[in-house]
Amino acid sequence: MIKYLVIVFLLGMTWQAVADDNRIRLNQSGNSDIYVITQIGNSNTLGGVTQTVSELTPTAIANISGGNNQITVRQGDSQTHIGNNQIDLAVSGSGNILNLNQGMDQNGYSNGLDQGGHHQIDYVNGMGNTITVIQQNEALNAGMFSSLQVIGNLNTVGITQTGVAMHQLIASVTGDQTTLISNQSGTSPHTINVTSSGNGNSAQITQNNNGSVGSNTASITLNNYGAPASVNLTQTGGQNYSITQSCATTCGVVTVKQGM
Amino acid sequence: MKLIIKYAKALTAIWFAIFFFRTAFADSGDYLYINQIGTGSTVNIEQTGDLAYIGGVNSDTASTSNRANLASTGGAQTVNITQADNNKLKLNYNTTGTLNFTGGSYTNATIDVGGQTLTSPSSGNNVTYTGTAGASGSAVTLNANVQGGTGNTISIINTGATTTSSIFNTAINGGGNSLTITAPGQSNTITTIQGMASSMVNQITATADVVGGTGQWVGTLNKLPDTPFAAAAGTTSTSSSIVMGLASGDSSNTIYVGQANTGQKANISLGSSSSNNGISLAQYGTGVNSSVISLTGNSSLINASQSGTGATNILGLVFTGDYNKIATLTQSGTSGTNIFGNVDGSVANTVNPITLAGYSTIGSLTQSAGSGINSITTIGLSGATTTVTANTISTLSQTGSGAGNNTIGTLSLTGGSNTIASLTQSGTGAGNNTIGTLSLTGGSNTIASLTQSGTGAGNNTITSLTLGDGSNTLTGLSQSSTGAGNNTITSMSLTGGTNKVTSISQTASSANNTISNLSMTGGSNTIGSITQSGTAANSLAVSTSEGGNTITSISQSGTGTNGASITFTGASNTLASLAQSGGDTNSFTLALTGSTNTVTATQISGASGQSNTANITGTGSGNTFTFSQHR
Repeated sequence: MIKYLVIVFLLGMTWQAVADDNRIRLNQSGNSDIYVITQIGNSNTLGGVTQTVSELTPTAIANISGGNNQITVRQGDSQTHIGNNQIDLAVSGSGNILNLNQGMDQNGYSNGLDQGGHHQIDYVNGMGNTITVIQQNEALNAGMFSSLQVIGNLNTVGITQTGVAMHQLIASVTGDQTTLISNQSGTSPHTINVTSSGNGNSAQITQNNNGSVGSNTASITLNNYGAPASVNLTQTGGQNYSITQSCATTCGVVTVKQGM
Repeated sequence: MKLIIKYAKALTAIWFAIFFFRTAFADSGDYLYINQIGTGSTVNIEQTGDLAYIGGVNSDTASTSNRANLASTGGAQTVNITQADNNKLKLNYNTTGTLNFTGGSYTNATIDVGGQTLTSPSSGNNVTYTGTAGASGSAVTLNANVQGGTGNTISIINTGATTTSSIFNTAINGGGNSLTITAPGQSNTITTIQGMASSMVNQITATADVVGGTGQWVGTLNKLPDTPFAAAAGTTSTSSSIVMGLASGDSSNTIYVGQANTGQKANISLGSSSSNNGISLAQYGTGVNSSVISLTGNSSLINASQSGTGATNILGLVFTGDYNKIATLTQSGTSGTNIFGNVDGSVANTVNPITLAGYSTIGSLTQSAGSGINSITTIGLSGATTTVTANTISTLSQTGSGAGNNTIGTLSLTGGSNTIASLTQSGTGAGNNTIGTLSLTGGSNTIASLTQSGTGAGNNTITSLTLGDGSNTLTGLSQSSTGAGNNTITSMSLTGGTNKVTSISQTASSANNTISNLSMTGGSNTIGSITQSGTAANSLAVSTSEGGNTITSISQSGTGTNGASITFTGASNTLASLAQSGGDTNSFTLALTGSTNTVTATQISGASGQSNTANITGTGSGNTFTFSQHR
């Protein structure tokens, strides 16, 4: 949580006030709720009920508590392509399914000209949640950032960042049997920072820089408190990585592939 | 000089006609005492001098026993009497035939048809009185009494345009008689008293009027069994008054009242158990027209019309019986004030509303004015119990073109199964359209159409609209303004559950549309659509306190500010569609407490720099939220 707060704080320092377009403030509790949120335009925000334009603090984050909820968010603009969308979401409960897309996705919501600049901060606390984050852009403008903190067991996380802009992912997993899959691809260098603490967690990370400038950077820390954790890292383009593993018993398998 | 004519002949002895013809020319102060009993005779009497007198034998005072007596035990008689000014006539006319009486100024005539002193009331007579007025200020008094006879026709016509303060008293106790009184002049009084109940229909027509005259008065009527009555006072004169009352037990009467020119007043009341009566009131004066119609019986039919250029029309109606019906109520004037629910001409008086008891009907209620004011203080349709009472207002309309306001203070339908088919307020000027309190309670009430519209600067306002006790229906509510006026519904509540509102529409070109509070309690209420469109601010707030409510569509559109607040409390509420479009700021607030609710909202902002905002808070499971924001 402390790290999460720090991240939020830093982002708040750097996040510039954006144009005031579509804004949803959300604070809802309940089980088996279905949320379908579509924001078409640029500089869209999904945040908390106290959020203002330039504010980005934990109390200003959209809050959904309860289990077995389905949360679908689509942000993007097929007309002006400016991007700069923001999701600040905290979900507490088990069995929730999150699909959080910025710049739209491969299913026709965008015509491929999104200019990026998307920010997303997600906090999930519970068991058996499925989190899918997609950030994509096709026109060079600003980089995209995703911060994810997952607390709980048996969670599944998939994060895909694609496009020509630089991508950054900071992910923290606390719990057991959680799987994190991250795919960063495009023509710019990518950065990923993953910290996983618990038993039997695994991280599958792919960084693909097809551009001619810059190097990918991966920093992975595995704190294995019982069952072994595993890492499968694939890097293309410029490559830097750091894997730190502490094991209470037997360490897991670490696989690194570069330049493929 | 005295002249005595006596003629008698037994009918059993003569089968052929015997004519009696005698003409008397009398000087001033002449007296004629006549007592004729015969068949098929003709009498012509003419008195040309002043202070002449026709009466009974050897008498110059008025009493039933000493009146001149014209009677027949056989065929018809024709009697023609002509008198000059200042004469007296005391006559028992108890024969079949025709009596023509022409009086002068200051004539005091008493004519009994079928007089009580006779053992066999006559029938089938024609009595015609023609008053020839003298100089201005010459008053005439005529007492025409029909006692027990049937089929008589009495026509009283005072032709003198300048005759003043004449009195025409008629008492009819019989059936099948016809009375017509025409009294032009100033300050005339017509009194008709209908006596014995009869299965036969009497018909009375009374008219008091003169060009330029004032102070006409027609009434008082009591006990009108099965009697059509038509009264007209002041068709061309001013300050006329009609007062009529029906006692208890009378039924199936018809009353027609017509008044014109300025300062007309009518008070009509029907007794507590009188029923099936018909009243038609027409006032079309240019000054103040005021009327009160009071019905305590059942099943009467009312038609009332008040109109005139620049007139102030005031009409009070109080019905306490059941099954009464107002077929048409019309008030119109180009610059005056139209007021329903006021009784004595005082605009400030609000104590006597229009009230109808159970099973009552208002077919058409219309007010129209140019620059004047249309005002309905209170209309209440209520039943004695909360069971089905089935009151109906088919059409209620207020229209104006000037600066005057259209106002309904309180309109309430209680008791259940009440209906307002159409309620319209419209104006083209600066006047406001206002409904203070509109309530339908008791269940199963219906408003088929409620419309407020204006093209000027006036506002359309409904302060309080209540559908209570459940299963009520409001088919269409529309407020529209093409001018600077605002459309406002301050409070609208659906209580008791299973109420249905088909559509609420607010349209403004440059002003604001506001629904401050639309609350639904009792559950299972339905609102088909709420539409707000305009270039200024659209705002609405909807709340539920129990579940099962449905709002099919909410639409806010315009270039100004759109704001919607929805509070769902309870389970299984549905907002199928909320659409905000075009505003420089679209805002939507959802507060939800309950389960299995469904909310779908779409916000589409206008130009760059404009924004959509949605705030969602609440607690509940199994809810479905679908939000779409576009720019």
